[in-house]
Amino acid sequence: MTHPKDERSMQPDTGAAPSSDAVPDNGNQSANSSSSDNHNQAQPTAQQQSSQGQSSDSNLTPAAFKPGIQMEPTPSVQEVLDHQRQLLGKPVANKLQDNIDTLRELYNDCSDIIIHEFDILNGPAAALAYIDGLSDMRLIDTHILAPLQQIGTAGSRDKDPIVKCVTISAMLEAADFQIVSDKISYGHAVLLIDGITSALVYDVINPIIRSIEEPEAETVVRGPREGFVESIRTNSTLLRRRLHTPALKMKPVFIGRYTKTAAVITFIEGIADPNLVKEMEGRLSAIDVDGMTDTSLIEEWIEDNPFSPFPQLMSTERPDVVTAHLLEGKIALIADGSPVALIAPASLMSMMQSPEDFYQRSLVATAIRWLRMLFSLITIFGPSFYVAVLSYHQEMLPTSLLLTIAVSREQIPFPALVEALLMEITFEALREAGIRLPRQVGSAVSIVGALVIGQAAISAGIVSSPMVMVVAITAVSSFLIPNYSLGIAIRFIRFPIMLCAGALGLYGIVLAALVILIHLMTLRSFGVPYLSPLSPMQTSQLKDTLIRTSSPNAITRPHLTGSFFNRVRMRTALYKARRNS
Amino acid sequence: MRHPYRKLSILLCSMVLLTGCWDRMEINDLAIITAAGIDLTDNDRIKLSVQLFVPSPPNSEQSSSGPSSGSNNKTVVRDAIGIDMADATARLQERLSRKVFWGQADVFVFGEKLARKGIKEPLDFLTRHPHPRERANLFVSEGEAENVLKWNTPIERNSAESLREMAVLRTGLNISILQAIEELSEEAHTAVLPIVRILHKEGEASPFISGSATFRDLRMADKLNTTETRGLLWLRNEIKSATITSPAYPGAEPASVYLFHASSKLVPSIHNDEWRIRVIIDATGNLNENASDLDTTKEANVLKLQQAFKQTLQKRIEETVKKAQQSGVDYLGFAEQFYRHYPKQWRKDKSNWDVLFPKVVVNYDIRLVIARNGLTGNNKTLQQDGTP
Repeated sequence: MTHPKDERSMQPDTGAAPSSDAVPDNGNQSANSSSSDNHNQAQPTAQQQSSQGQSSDSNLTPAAFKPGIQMEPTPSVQEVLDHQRQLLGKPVANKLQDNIDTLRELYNDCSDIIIHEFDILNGPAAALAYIDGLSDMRLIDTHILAPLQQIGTAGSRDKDPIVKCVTISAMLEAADFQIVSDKISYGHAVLLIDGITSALVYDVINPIIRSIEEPEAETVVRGPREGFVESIRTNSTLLRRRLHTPALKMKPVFIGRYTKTAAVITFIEGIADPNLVKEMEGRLSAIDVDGMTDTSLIEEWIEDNPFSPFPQLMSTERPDVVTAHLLEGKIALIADGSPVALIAPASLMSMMQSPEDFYQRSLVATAIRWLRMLFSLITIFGPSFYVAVLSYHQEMLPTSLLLTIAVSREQIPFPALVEALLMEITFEALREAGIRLPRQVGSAVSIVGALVIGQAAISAGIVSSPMVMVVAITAVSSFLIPNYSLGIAIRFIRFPIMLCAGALGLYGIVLAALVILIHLMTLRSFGVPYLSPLSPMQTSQLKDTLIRTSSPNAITRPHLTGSFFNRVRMRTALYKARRNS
Repeated sequence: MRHPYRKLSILLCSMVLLTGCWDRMEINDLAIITAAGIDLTDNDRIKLSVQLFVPSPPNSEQSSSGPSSGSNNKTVVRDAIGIDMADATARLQERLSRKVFWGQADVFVFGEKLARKGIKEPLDFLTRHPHPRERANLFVSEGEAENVLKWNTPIERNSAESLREMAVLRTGLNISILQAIEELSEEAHTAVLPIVRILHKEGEASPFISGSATFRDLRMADKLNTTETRGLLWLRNEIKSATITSPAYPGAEPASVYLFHASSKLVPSIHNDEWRIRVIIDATGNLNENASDLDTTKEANVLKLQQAFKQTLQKRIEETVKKAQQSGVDYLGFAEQFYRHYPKQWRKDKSNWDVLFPKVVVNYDIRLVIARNGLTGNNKTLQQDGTP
């Protein structure tokens, strides 16, 4: 686990993005910077705070550096890092002015830091440090400053009266500036008092978050409409609101030297395999990187096979989905700044499930699940099958169908493969454009897109109408896959299959399918076979794979890993007795 | 560690690129044969005529809105003469800009002249060549097969489709290549193929299936007319539905029954060197028409009707059996039945079958039930005055 106290993360607390101005600074130490990963650390430190940089561009010259090294030739990376490490390593001193100086040096060029010096009524001098905007000013004013300045400590210079005076429950003490700076950067207010060698850290975080909305990528007709937001605290609250039990554990992890992204491994003690949690912790602690901006990056670091197109962790924006998986003994990872939670271990079949499956009647949900699987196969093999049959196996089609296709293909200048690739790639481009374009322009794309993949293309004689049909069916069916990353993977693999079909016909399709199948067989997600429970076959779990059994019939929890397996999910005997009485 | 993979991937890539697409054949480069006719020329050569599909593309915007004209599905007939089928095909290919494609040929028509001489050679080609479908229909044409192909049908897409649909309707025989081969390999070495006859009416020719040709040892032996063919269908248990019309009682006006269920079975038996076949027929039908004065609401009358229909049916089958026994060609499938039930005896008398077959005694066991006689009894309003 990458706690802030980790030796490696004893780095400055400044998560500044490198900019072009930093490049000339590094020019002098090219030998130094290229020799190791110091290069990455040098750039942000050379230029202290991004917010500063954005507010005043004119300051972004080497001349605007910190006073101690201002006029000298640019400092070496090592000097900068050592200076910061030395500052961070300082314990909280007895003398208030020293502490303030240390803080000011740490946060020099940070225009958003506020260090408020004041006298406690009938008490010692004190200073309150926090970051403007990150902390809730009103809380600070009413619960820290007002009691301290109006009630005071009645002459005592000890810590306890001061602690009692402040009316904020979330408080902890910090002994060195590493913790102090961490806390300040997270939005806590730090109270430094003359004569006391520990800083009082108050949680006054001002939660600026977007409101909880329905996730757009995972909509349901029936079921909860809450979605995760970018704040980890809100997200964990959303989970806790569904699982009112101390067994819901949330292990904190901090990832990234500069971003120090707070993440939480959450699981249900007693259901989840502890080894799985340990494995997750181990994989997360191995990450040593500058920054982690989203859980998708974490996914890349902790998945078993990074070269596979298939996602090996399930991602979702829905707290109800996470809850359901936690109840099945899986573990989830949520990270600050990302509205997407990761669920591990994940299997292919679990990604073919939509939350809606569980909110609709089981019979209907089963039918829809089959429909989804059928259309997933059509997405993968539809265009390739069309290409193969048209290029190699014309005798396979019914006569009248072949004659119809022959008529429509008569004046098409391209072979079937080229035609298919042309259309499929165009469709992918349109899809991508539709996502990236600003909303105002989006409608224009859809209008033009309908022309490109549609009647205009047919009358222009570039593609045949059956091909348009195939592309359209493929396009529609690819959106039936509930998991977006799996959908992308499936859309992606159909291109190699199409090439195989163009080169070898149905034989090529079979070969490609075999390769994909073998690949899927070898995939593991945290030790769990990707194709489970189909391969290896676990008959007890088929209840929620090919069919969606009704809830009272899902008696056992799925078995994922190891011998730690809390099997029975419900007490049916009691239920039956009560129903029959 | 990843080095071997990189080498392997380069190797695999080159594999795909170097080989190219071996057998790729675009539809645009195919001359799709929908039907083929095989005739014998005067100097004993094979004349192969094929009906090719002409994929004329849909006319651009202007006509796409209107109803598509029939010219969209044109076919053209080309022929070539060769020593055998393969030779003729090769010669045909010389005259075509596109590759001959047998994969969609659903109909093969043999000219009568060729059929009389023997269809062994074309059948060998059709079964040996990988492309022609085993489920393609076989026909024998009265006269030249080419004339059948040249027919331009107004209803179906082309004449091949038309012939196939007619065969599927099962008014006559529906024999595929596979079926013909199977039957020829059975004990009697016989086969029957439907005959296509061309009806000339008001200057318009329209082929239709009429009767069937019987083959013995791959040579056409005899012709059956439509009624005899229906009798044959009964014996072969290929009747799906039938309408039987007969006088309600001797001297009365006719009545008809539509049989929606019919099955037949041949049961052989050998008693003291007397070879017998019992034809068991089970049929159920609705009374379709009754112009006679019988009141069909009375059970006795229904039974009377059943008896009448039974006799008509038996007569129909008897005719076919008689014809077969006269010609001495066992296309009724008797030989196979004896072979299956009395294999030892069959092996002994196999060589003698030509003599035995005409002597086989055929009994009939027909069960015909009129399941629904309708609610109309004696249709009084339609009866002439005075009759009861």
